[in-house]
Amino acid sequence: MKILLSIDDTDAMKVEGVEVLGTGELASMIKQTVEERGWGVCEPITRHQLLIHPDIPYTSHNSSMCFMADIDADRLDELIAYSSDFLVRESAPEADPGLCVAVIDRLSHPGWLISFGYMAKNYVLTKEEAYDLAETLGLHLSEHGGTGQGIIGALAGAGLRLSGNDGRFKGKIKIKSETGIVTAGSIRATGKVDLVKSLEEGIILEDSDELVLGDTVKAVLLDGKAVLPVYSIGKDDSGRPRWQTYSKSQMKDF
Amino acid sequence: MANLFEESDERFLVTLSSEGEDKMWQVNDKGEHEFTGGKQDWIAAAKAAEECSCFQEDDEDELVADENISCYNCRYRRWTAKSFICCK
Repeated sequence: MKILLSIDDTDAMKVEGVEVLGTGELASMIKQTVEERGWGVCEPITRHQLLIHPDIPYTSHNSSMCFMADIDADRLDELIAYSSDFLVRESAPEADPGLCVAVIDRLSHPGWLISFGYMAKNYVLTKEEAYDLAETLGLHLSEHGGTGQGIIGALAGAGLRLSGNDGRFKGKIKIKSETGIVTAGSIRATGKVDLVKSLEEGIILEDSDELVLGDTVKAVLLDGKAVLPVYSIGKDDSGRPRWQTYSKSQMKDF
Repeated sequence: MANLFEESDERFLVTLSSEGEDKMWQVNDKGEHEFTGGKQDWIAAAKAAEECSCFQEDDEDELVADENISCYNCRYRRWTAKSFICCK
């Protein structure tokens, strides 16, 4: 069965000399456990930016982390129990962690979950609204410390991942190149990118098209695919368009 | 910069910005130090971080500035609706 696992509000402001794992790191550790224990196969983690507002408590950037997985149905309860214990154990003491696990095929109204995700990017939502929707949709939503406020972001993260059109993938794509120029095909061959696309022009690069690697190579979630966004930097000597990967500042709006 | 915060009682703290003398920080209603350059003043944010002994790079997934050393990339910044708070 395909599931979404999303967590939020697990960390605290980092303190010198004290190791505080970010929400993304905790999501990675849960994902790793799922695969190591043979519970299922996971897809990459996405980061989803939520509303920054004075009425919303958050550590530093108010984002949630989510991944999709195809798991053995018999392992669902075990996964939820493990993830719950893990968040209690690994979250920062000051954190307000929340966990959402949604079985996609069992969602009564998937569109409502997606709508909740987008609302969390634009409005201040409450725990009560999150629990009400979770009950209506029939998904798991639980809090594991502090105020439990993280359930809002966890639910929203699941909705935004389900939308297929929000967030950026955790981690950089590592690709070797002595010249700093690679083909779109070699990027896709890493298995971490479905498409290399110029978002401004709406052009999907051919595998033979070349692009210049910037200092960060990250994919974003668009139309349910891992898309590496590139922008035009003119044409080469033969008149072929040249492309470059987005910089960090260009990526920040995803 | 930390010393500036401790030594100044003024509402607006004055320090050197990319365009000369400017108000780079202000104290908000909660007594927090908020960057006055908003979220797009890349040069000032980089300069502020270069002058700060507390700068620590955040997790890779939270980096947004192309300049590696920038308050925008610091683990001690907390985003606000229009800018960020320095938590050091």
